[in-house]
Amino acid sequence: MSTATWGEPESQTDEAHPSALLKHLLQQMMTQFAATGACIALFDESIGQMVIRLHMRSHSTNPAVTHDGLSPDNSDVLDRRTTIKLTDPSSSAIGRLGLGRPPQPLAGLSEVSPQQSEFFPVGTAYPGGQDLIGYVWRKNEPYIMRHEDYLALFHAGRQVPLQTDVTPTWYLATPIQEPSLIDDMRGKKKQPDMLGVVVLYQTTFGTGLQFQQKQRLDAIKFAERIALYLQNDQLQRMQRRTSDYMRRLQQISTTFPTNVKLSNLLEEVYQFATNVVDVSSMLVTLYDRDTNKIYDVFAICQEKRVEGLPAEPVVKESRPLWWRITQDEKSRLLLAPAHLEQSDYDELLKGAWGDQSKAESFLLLPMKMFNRVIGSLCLTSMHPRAYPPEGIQVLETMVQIITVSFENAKLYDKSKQSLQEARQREESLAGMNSALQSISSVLNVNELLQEFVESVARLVQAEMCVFFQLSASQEELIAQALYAPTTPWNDGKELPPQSSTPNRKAHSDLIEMIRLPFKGSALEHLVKAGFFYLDPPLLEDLAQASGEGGAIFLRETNIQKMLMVPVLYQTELVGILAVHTPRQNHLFRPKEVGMLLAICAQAASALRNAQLFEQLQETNAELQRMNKLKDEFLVTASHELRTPLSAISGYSTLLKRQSGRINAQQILRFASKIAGAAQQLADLVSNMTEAANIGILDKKLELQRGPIQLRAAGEMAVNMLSVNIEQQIMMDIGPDLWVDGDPMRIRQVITNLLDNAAKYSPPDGRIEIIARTTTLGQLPLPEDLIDHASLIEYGDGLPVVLVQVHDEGEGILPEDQQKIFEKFVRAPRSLTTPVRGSGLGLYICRRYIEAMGGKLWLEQSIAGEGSVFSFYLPRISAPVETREQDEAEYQTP
Amino acid sequence: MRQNTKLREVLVVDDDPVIRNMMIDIFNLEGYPIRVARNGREALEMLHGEENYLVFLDLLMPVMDGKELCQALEAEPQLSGRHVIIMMSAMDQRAEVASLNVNSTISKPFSVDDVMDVIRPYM
Repeated sequence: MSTATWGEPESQTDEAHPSALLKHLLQQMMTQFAATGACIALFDESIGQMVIRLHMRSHSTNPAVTHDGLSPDNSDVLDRRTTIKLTDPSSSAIGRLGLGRPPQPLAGLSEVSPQQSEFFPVGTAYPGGQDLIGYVWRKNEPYIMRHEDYLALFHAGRQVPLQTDVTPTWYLATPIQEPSLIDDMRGKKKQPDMLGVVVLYQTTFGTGLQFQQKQRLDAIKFAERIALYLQNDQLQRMQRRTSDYMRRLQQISTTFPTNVKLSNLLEEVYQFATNVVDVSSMLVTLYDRDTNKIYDVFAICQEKRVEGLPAEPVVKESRPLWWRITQDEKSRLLLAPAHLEQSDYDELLKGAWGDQSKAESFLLLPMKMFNRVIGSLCLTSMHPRAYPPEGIQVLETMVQIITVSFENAKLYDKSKQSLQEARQREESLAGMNSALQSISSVLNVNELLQEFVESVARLVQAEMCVFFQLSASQEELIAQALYAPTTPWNDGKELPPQSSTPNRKAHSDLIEMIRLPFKGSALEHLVKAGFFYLDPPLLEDLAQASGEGGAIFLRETNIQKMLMVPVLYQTELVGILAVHTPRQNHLFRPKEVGMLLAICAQAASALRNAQLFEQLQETNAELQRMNKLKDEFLVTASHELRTPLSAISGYSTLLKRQSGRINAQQILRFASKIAGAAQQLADLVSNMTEAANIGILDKKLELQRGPIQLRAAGEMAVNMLSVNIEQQIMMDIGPDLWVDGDPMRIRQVITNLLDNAAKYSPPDGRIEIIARTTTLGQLPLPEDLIDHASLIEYGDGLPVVLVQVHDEGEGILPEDQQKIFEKFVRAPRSLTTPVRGSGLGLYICRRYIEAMGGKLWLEQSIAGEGSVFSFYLPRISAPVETREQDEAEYQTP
Repeated sequence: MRQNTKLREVLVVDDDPVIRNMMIDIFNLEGYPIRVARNGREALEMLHGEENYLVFLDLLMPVMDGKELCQALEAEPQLSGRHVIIMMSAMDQRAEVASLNVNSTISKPFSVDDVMDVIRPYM
């Protein structure tokens, strides 16, 4: 072991012990050899020379007397070297060796300062061979010589006499060798190192004693003793330092992972390093193998902390040298940057910690866990050879500890992270569960879909979520529910879950305008592969193929990427769920997509359930309505049947009862009444079957269409009615008015309207039926009956025939004006009570006319003055057939 | 046969001219004076007159139906006291008629004999 550490900068307390020890040892030696003066030089590794550390001299002319019991005779004590306990740090080497008193200069002895004389001044360094000290060092054996010989040997040719305050006479110089035992223990077989040289001398003021040659042996023994003391002391000091390091290292390792603040830990690392070696700058770099990036996390430049390190990590490829060196098998890199000729190491020397290329010493210690590089610690010092092997060893230990700490912290972080992930997963599962529950518990399709999109948006924190339902024709996808609290589609407001019906209706109408093409579009193809993302080019393609609503949606809601998840019920595509996050433009994590797939599957079956439920409800309601209609129909029908039956029964019994009294004319009249009633019954029965069909099952009317001359139809109706009504019917229908329709039904409609008119008019009231030709655009239609489709298709110039039936009745109450057209509804004073013989109410009349391409409505109704019922049919030109042929068709069956 | 010094006049109230005409034929041939009304309101006006009527009242009519006429009469006891009301109703309308304060009922369709039988107690 070298004594180089003596030369290292050390604190005052550290220095006190060796100098005290040295003093003591030197004093003892002087005593034993009865020397007047003595100096000791120790090897300084940093300069490779012997440097005088202490020089002492006796004031009295009498040599010091042995008074502490140590003498050459009992020097055998020193041979028991193995008995020295080196492991006890509490006692000093001096104390253990029985030198219990504080090491203070003995009376009569004092240190010789360098100012005092040129003669072995303290601090002088001697290379090997120079002067007595260098000579003894090189020869490695004790010498005894007279002053004259000394001068001749080492100061020959000196011009100026040696300035000394005393006159030496004899010298005894002996080398101090490193004890070999320690080397043996460390397993090293090498030449023992020279620790130092002791020079004793006599002066003319002294006793005038001469050193005897035999004393050389004693000197060697004493030198061994000194070596042992020195080494012991050094070992103790090292031990103290080691234990101090241990304590500090422990402190560092316990900082992790409780102290998650990296900078605090690295501050301690810095403090530690400065305690071990000289540090002017320090840089800690970490490598994150997860992201494959390098971070400078801590930097000290000229003993000042560098704040605001670049936050952005760099890829490892940008620091190839660092990467190569840290990966290298060599455990460290030691450089003297100031003496480098080339700037090969600039990558390491310049950076976050400034420019270190002027530093005298540079040390890089990689942080490695097995073979994995996790970072590096770099130190520089302005002192040359600032990083001796011992220091490096200690620092390496520290680096190893912080490496382990980092790894632990990382593992700790990871386990914390996985714990957090588990918690998040749990939360999202719970969220999904509640979403699924709320979806499954809703049986109203609209609410369900709204709940569906809102749940999804909450689950994956999406900013917009839309459910598109595949249309029945599979041609397009129609938005059914939209959740987008921050888009213009919602006016910036979140739609309250229970908004009032009109708003909701308007909202859902707006949403349904968002339609995307499906059949033949990219979507049809993509959906087969499961979920997919729509990217801008695809979005644009779709927007071009979409209608206005879809295009606005695709272009103006700032969609960057949209996740499309097919919603399948078993293998049937129900719709697509579109989820996107316009501002973040990120892809969803697999976990989130998995959740979406699960929720979509659930939503599909919930949707199907809800649809089935709604169908069931509709069917139920329809059944109830049908039941009610059946009841009403039966009441109406029986009432209708009753009139002709009453006539037949009444007249036939009258004929029988009055047969003797009545004349032939009366008999004929009664018989024709009976025949008329019978005909009415027959009409009724046949029409009821059909009425039952259209009234209840809403079957499409089967028309037997052909050209009809309106005047002929009107005449037949008037003829039929005139038997039963009192009023006069005025008819004004031109012979040139022809329409296309079912003759029997047109007759029924006219009969019905005239009969109603008669019913509500006084006996002397006037009933008029007028027909004229006009155009579609000029009809006096109420707003809700304007046939926009026909107007668009045929234009408002389409010729039509308008038929109006005027009466002078009481008029129809405003509240009843709509009701009279409803199916089988009987308002208190309803007109819908089916009219005898010719039909089953205005509802059926309207149905007939509409089936023939026209409309029927109440044109006007004034209380006390009368009403006008009107209908129109598209006009056709008169066919070539003769009037007679038409007449044949009008024959009632 | 006719016990009363003054014969009650028959009033047939029905919106259906077939029924009204038939009743006219029947009562003319049987020798009873008869008048007709087309709905409850026309009838109510006539009932307010001097004459005591035997009313054949149809149930279903526009403007004012048979049921409403009966309710109007109940509001005026002096009216209901002097007229006889015979409701013309079908079998299925019995429940509706049962709650009304009428003297008798006759089911449509009916024979002339039925009519004579139902008026006998009041003539």
